Amino acid sequence: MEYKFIGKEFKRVDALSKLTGRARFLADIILPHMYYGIFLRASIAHGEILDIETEDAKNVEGVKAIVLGRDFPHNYGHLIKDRPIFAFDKVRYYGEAIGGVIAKTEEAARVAADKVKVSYKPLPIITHPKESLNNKEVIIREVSPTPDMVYRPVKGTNIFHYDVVKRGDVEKGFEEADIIVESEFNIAPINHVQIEPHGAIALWDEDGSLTVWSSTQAPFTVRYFLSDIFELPLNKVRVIAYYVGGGFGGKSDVGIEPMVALLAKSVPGHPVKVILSREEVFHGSFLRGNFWGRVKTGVKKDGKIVSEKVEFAMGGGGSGEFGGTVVDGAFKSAVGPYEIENVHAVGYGVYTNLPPTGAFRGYGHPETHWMIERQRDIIARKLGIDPVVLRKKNILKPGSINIIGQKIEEHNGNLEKCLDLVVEELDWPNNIGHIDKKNKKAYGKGFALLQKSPVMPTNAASSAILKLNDDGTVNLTVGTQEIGQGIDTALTQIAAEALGISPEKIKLVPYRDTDLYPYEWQTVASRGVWSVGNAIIMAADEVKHKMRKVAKEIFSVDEEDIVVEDGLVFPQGEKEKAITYKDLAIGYTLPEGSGIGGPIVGAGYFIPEGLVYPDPETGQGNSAAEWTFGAQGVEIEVDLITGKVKILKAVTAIDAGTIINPENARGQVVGAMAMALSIAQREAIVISKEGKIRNDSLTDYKISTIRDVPSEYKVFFVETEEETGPFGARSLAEHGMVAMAPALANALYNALGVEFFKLPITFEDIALAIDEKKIV
Amino acid sequence: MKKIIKLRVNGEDYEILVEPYWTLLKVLRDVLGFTGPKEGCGIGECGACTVYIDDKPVKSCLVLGVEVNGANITTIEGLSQNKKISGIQKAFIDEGAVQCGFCTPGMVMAINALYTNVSDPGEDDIKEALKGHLCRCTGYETIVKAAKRAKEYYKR
Repeated sequence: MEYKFIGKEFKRVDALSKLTGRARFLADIILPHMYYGIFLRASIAHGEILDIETEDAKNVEGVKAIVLGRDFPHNYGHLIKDRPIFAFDKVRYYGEAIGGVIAKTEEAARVAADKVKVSYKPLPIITHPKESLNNKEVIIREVSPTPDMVYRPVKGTNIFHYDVVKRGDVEKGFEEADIIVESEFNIAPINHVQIEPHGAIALWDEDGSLTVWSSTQAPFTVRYFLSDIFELPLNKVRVIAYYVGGGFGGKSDVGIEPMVALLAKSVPGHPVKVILSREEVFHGSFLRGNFWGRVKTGVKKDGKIVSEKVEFAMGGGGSGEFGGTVVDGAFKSAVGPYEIENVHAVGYGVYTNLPPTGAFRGYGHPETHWMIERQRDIIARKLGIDPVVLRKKNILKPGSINIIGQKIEEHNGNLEKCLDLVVEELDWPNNIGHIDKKNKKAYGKGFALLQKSPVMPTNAASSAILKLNDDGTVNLTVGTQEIGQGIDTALTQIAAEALGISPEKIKLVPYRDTDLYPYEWQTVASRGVWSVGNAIIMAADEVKHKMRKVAKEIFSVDEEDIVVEDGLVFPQGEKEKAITYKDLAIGYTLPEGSGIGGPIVGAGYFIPEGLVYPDPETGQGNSAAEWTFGAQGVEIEVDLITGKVKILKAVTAIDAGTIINPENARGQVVGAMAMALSIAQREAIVISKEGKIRNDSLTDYKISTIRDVPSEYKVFFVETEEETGPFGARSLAEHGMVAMAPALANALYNALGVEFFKLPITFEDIALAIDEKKIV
Repeated sequence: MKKIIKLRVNGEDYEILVEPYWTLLKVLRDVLGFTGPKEGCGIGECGACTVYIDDKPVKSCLVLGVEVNGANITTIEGLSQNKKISGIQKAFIDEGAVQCGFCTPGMVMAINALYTNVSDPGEDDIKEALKGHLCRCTGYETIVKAAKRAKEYYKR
């Protein structure tokens, strides 16, 4: 379809303020009479809290209050309720907060915090998910299932949640198969490393109302939890959020806000500000948990996959509340974008003595795809057929049934075309890998496929308000957050298209405030354009309907004969009589002076209708909306002496439906590719025997610098219009993360003939493998 | 013991009382309200707090306020003058190089400084200038493009 503003160049609405230093972030906020808080953090990874000595700390000049977990022993949550605000009975990971100090200055708070003495009874620790899954001696958290619990903990184990998919009969499938391939995979825990550290400010008024300023992707979820924890009506809790300096999921789960709010409760009338140090971001926010999995696949000689059994466990850290839903996301993609008759997949979330697992861009999908897309290449090799051919024999196409029982429709997208585009860009199957002994280099190409749908509750809702101004310009308010993904820009374009006026006339009001802006579930799962975009279209329809109602009086015709188009309102066939939005914006004045109509506001909402809970025993059911499919690939050069890998080219082809803003969409895909390669090549939280994070700085936990990223990025958009999306759009912001790691490992095999089963694959790992295989 | 220091920031003179252990970044942000420079790590790893001390780009979290008594400081707020933004700021818009915006002020300061020293920087000069600046959003592609694109604006 042809659009006026969709798919066209339109520069980011937040660019200028971010370039001039005017853009506001949480840390920039300084309020009158503000105090500062520092959290007290556990010095061991697992143990009972015996005693906390605070007298010396209280005597430090400037200290206003010391708050401890035992003063407010409360586990919050919505799904399993296992997250303490501050640890009160025992600590479950190194760096877990057990309380906080409030003082007039940050320095005083820090000095006092150092004087608090805590004694513990240490307990044995578990950090690996496979170990935790099988361990019944060291129970990190005792949880008994209750009827109101959404998760499914298993009593007497560390399992806090699990999901199952069952289709057909896997054992029968294995009997029918010509070959069976079994592999085991691991992924290290990682951190989001948003450049902006987490922070929050909380203020309790004398009337008992609470205001929290936070760097959050989910102001309305923060409000919900604060109201639940402190037993306040929602309209007595106000959450204000400025721009988020990088989220990637790590600012969508509610962690710091209840902590700061609890501190501030002891000093009503004074705002309390806490900004995490970089070290604290590593051990005091959220991680992407470590991951272990096993895949057993039965395949026919011709490459048809007949049966697949997948078992995986994700380390959840000391609290499962925000990690179990990652398992919910992963299990729906347990076998990747393939149609397989017999599937049995079980995914577990297990407690570990590490910081809690939360959302991370991709939400379980990079993990399952790491296993599945490696497994596909391994199978192809064992059968001696091209991995493209193997995939094409099994991929989801219109008419296919996926593992949760959904039938794939034409409008869901064209995975095969994405695959074709990537292999064509890689010039597959020519020169897929070779060793250049003379120059001590190896070259390889690899690719992998991906699928993802937004992992969200079945009722994750959005809303939007359009308000006409007297001069015909429009103010748009939404509850979804600008976290760098460019949502404010994309939504401005959608509003422009829906209202038929140029995007320059629309102001998406920056920043968010739960008292003033309409409801949004959360800014996660790449669903903003899709979900809020639909709400905006509905709001625009209401605006147009209200204008028609006034215009029919002006022109004395029926409402259905009024045309609203390109900022003009006129009776059908009489465009010369047209009036503008400006004439109607705050009510129309008739020639004799009397007014009709009134200020025009349109409100719209969206909820993903028709989604249901998956069947608990089989995982079947329409529990996922708007799948996005894609393919990714890399070309690499390996230095045979150092093991260093240079990414010569990184490619993604994605069918994200209609692209709203090509420049920003490309920015999302490229950014995700770079992040995924950084993670795959160099990122791992290193844990000591005592359970301490050893690399809690940007010097020791390295993310890719400008010298480490691919030399060239290629992005292809296949635009199969999504039936349920605004102007045919669907999700794309996380997807560039999903299949890069297996694409890299597949390329490494083609270059070196070495199979890698764990992430990251560091240069050291590669150098050791080269040495072991005597390649040089 | 607090000390009085004098600073010229973005062309304005200030006389302020600071603790000897306050970093220049803290002085700029918390005392003087120049919140454009950002704190991503506080120990010189990320580059988001880059400002100029007498035209030289410096990570302001690694300098104490008292050390630069009398200095001439430029922050990102001072880069656009008479309502006109600098060439690199324009180029960042052209190339779509802004995402979350947190590393942006540091990146912009570093590239602008590069252009005051080198009129025609190559890709390697750009990467050298930005090697101490971390970005988690963009994969650096658009930032490098913007740094190259800026050439046309600085020439004029």
